[in-house]
Amino acid sequence: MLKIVGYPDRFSVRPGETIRFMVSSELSAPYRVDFVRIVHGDVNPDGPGFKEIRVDGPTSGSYPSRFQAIHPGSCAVVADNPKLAGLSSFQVQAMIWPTLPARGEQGLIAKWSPDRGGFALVIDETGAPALRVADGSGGVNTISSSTPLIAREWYRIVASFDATTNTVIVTQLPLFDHPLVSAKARVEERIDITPQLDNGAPMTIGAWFERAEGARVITAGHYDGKIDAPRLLRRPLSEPETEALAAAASHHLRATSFASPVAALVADIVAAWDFSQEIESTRVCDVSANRLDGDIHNLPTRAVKGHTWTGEEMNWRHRPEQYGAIHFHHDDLYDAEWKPDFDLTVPTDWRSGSYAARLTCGEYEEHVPFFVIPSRGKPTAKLAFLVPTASYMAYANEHLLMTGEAAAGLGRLAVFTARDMYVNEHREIGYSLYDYHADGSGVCYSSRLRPIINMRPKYQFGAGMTGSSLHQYNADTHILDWLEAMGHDYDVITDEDLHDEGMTLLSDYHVVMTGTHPEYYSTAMLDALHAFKHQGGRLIYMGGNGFYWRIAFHRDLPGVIEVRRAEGGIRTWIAEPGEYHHSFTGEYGGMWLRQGRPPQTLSGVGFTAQGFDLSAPYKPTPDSQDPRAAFIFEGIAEGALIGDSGLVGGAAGGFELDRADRRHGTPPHALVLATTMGGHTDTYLVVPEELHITAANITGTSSPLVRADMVFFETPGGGAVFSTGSIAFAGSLSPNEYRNNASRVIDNVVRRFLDKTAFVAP
Amino acid sequence: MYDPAQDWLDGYEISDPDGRLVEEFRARPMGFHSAELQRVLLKMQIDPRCPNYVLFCRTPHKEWLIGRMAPRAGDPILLEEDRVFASVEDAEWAVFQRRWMLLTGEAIA
Repeated sequence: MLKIVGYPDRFSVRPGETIRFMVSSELSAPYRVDFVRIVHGDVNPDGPGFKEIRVDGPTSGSYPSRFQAIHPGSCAVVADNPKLAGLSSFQVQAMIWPTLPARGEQGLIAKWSPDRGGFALVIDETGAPALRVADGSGGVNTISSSTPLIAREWYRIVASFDATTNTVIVTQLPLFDHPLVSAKARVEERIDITPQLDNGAPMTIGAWFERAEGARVITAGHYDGKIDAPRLLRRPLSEPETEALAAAASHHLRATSFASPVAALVADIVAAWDFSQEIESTRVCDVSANRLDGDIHNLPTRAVKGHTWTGEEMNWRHRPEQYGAIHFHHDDLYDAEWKPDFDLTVPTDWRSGSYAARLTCGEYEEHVPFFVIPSRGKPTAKLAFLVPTASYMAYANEHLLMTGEAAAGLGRLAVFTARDMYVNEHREIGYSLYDYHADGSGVCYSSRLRPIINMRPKYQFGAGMTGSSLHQYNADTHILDWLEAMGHDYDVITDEDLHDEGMTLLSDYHVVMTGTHPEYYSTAMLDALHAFKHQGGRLIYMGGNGFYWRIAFHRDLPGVIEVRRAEGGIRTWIAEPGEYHHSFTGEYGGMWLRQGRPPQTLSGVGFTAQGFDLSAPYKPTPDSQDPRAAFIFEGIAEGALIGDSGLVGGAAGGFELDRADRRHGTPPHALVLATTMGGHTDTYLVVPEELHITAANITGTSSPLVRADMVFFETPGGGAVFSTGSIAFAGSLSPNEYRNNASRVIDNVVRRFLDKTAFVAP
Repeated sequence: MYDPAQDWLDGYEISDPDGRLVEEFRARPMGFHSAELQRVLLKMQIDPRCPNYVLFCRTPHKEWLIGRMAPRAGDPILLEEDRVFASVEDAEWAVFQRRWMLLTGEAIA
């Protein structure tokens, strides 16, 4: 099991810039830090073996071990304010849609200090709403509705304290009253203490305050479910008043000269948070005159349907008032917020490449990867390897295989390692975009500001084919190793750089080479690659299932992406109806295929099938004889198989496969040079977006859609595109000391693509 | 609410009077399989009577153990540390033997 883990504050860094590293060590002895350049992360004895090159770093050395905790769980926090602290009587109310009401105590809305009193509207141990009040001198009363909430039903929850009578009232009202189900409740109780709201604690929504660590607020009692329209008043309202307030839109809660059905209550409103405002931000807005705005912590899900959603509108931007809910999860995590342990100002003589801070202590070792990209506007090579860091983030700490459902699709047993054990047992490190929260909702945000246990050299993936069994980060080292072995100079650049800088980042390169599985693309990233292709650039797509999902980056928060698994595709979870638009940008989410921009329009091929056992070689097609393709097959015997050996599944075509398809936008002049069709086992299945009706002929031996196509075509401006269409391909580059047909094909392509002589379209 | 799926059992019944399917799997645990062996393997993966077996690679490319996922998410994988396999294929065969016994009552060697 791992004892040292860490993460950097960024993935890419330029010479002269500083990157910081956060580390948590369960050991007592100091650990050593060395910086290494990662060349080949695959430990398979049948391949070239693990290769890292130690480089002198100014901050190499010994560092003391210290444990750093992670505090998962999302909430909204509103700083303490005299308007809150000065309350004696109060009423708190919200619409809630609990998802795990029986999980244990959870905070809904609180101004609570563990030792200085306050109030907390909670779901109690029995799953019923309750108001807990404390006087700060040890007196605590909890008044429960004693009627457990039903999961995934909307309720109005109202709790009040009347200081003149020392009476607490708690009511719950289901929005939809199912016959024969007793879900309503009202309890009224006199208590013998006075809640102390002047407690120094912030107001919290979706949790309660536990302690402060400097400026950082540590919360506990995190809630699973949605909260909509939380409101706080300075006195208990009558039932008709409460009813009127609940029915009022947020613009009716402002003190204006315009007519409002609740004008008489406006002066009693302390705060009325409207979560439909500033959805793209980290703010929660109080629409009352007090403006007790707050911030969300650990990225709860926004742009989710509120209790007023009618089903008529699918885009939150059109009717934001119907998207007034936030979905909180006790297992949300954006930023582990560890303290930095060491940093590195990248020496100017370090070459661009894939690096890691290597942490060692006795038998324990951890690599914390980062990428040194060239100085702005000063590329050091003509070829850029585009590191698919967005896809690494998408799969960060993936738990999917740990469910029986996913494992049943493999056709063999999942193979875990100590790293997977850690991921399984340390749920606090957060989830990937493939996972479910504990409450069954899909995880739509993933950040890199936390240890990513499966994005490491030497890591073996539990479903990554026979042989090397690699995926994403470590699989991509097959390409880095090949570039070095073949003597090709290269820079590395990352997805986040591409998103931030667009075509500017690419304009000085002749060739952009992708990783093995560049699956997640923001609009800006995709636009940049299209622009590159259309301005004479040469694109070598070295993978499978690329350019597939649309993602969004957050406007304000670094290092986090969002996916909405809308409409189709291999979806381990499915976005809820009405929630297909990203909260970060408002863009329609899902597959690029479903948005009129199929992968074939960029790379000539797009995702068609996947399997997890063996790979198949490519057979040349008649198109391989076309004179336009002669440079690709130079030195290869006519009709010879391409990639008939390999570290990933034993051949070049495997794992996830892409095919050419005119209907999906493969250019009409594209050459389909070779294909793996007919070579795949029946564990390979056609992707669901190609299945218009359910049918049995979707397997490797029964469907022509199960294949990887190798494609070449010229582009406007003298550029060109070459695509392998297979994740496994890179594993076929190194056999026989890199002297094999797969390696030769890629070498031929790289050499010609580096030659500035324009490609002439046929 | 009653969930009929809780009573579901795979309706396929394994029958291999001449041992052909067992031999086919033993010879090639992963790769191209006959349609009938595929159906047996599917049953082994989905039948609720079979535990959720996984493999644990203790030493990369050298040592594998058989494990089972714990019923509750996040609990440690239950490892059988007393038996170490030298290949994935050997471990797959051992799990196949167990599942065969569970589903047919017959031991295969």
